[in-house]
Amino acid sequence: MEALIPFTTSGSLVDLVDKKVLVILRDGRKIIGVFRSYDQFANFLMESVVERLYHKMEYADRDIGILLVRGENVVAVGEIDLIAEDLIPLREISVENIMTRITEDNTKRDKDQIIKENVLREYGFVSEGREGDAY
Amino acid sequence: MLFFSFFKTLTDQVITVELKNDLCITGTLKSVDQFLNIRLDGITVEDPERHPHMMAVKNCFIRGSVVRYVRMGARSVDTTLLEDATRRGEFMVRVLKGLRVD
Amino acid sequence: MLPLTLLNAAQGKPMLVELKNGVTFNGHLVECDNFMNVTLREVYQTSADGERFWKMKEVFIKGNIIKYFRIADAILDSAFEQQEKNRAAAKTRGQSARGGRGGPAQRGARGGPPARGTPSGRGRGTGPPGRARGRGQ
Repeated sequence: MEALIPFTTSGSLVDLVDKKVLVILRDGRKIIGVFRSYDQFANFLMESVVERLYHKMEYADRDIGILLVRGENVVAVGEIDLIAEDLIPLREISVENIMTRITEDNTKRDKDQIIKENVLREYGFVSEGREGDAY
Repeated sequence: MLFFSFFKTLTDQVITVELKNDLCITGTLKSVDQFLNIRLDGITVEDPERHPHMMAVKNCFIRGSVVRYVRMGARSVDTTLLEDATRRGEFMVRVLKGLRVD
Repeated sequence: MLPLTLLNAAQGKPMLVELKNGVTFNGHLVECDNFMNVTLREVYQTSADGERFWKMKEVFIKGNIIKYFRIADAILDSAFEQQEKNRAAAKTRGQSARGGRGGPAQRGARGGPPARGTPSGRGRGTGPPGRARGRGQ
């Protein structure tokens, strides 16, 4: 007979402890690390953390160390399957390379965004700007 | 509280959670809490090329505040029961407030 | 160990705080509370785009605007050691209070529970279920 895990935030998170997880933050960042602890607000403590930057089929890792994340900034936490991780078709490249590609994409996207915003403003739509969510 | 109870009845069903950033995750509902945070097992992502980071993730915890929709099979839901519960809830609220009860 | 426990143990240590808007503060933690409000001393503030910098003696940051804290590995280790020391101190205090009668036998009988019963033992993520109502207030 399976133990009845209570329907609480703790119940949902307890089996993720000491596992390698991917955390998606509201600003769009993807953080990978060992999930060490949490509290009733879903604040997280993570160890051996890297920020993984993705661009199409490539990625780069940036070392962060220990991270204490405030719960409200989290979108989702996923347990990384260590076997599946070795099978993913993504290629690792250096941080500098990926940053150049990402900034190229961003400048292009920002130009398009400005044009879009100007048109939408005529109709009364206002954008949130930097304070909005970017995930 | 009503939808918390509703989701509790949905555990072990396959559902699709659509996030506010358009990411759609399909999986088995394992757990839910009072904030409607969702725990899904055995997940697949609808458009994996757009979200390559989810490739090696098999189960996840999703914060309730980032969910746009939760999609489920019609057979999983007894809408009559839900309607009754809703009306009962509204009834009690009005009684407690001393309002006219229709 | 609980996230806020680590923060409390990190008083006096240097850390980086990033806010929701991307502004970062590098400084030494003076104080923190349960709302995650913090005061830092000898602070270097960097704007979100990394272009502008400020230096200030002291800053108070309201908890609800924080995105995350970056803390050095050494600080986690020293916080753990502190916890172990406190646990050991509590144990010896408890034993001496019992008058040292049959020490080993008693410890044996209580061998299971203390690991879970001590406050620091809750750090393994067994957060209090049902106390989550604190968030709403």
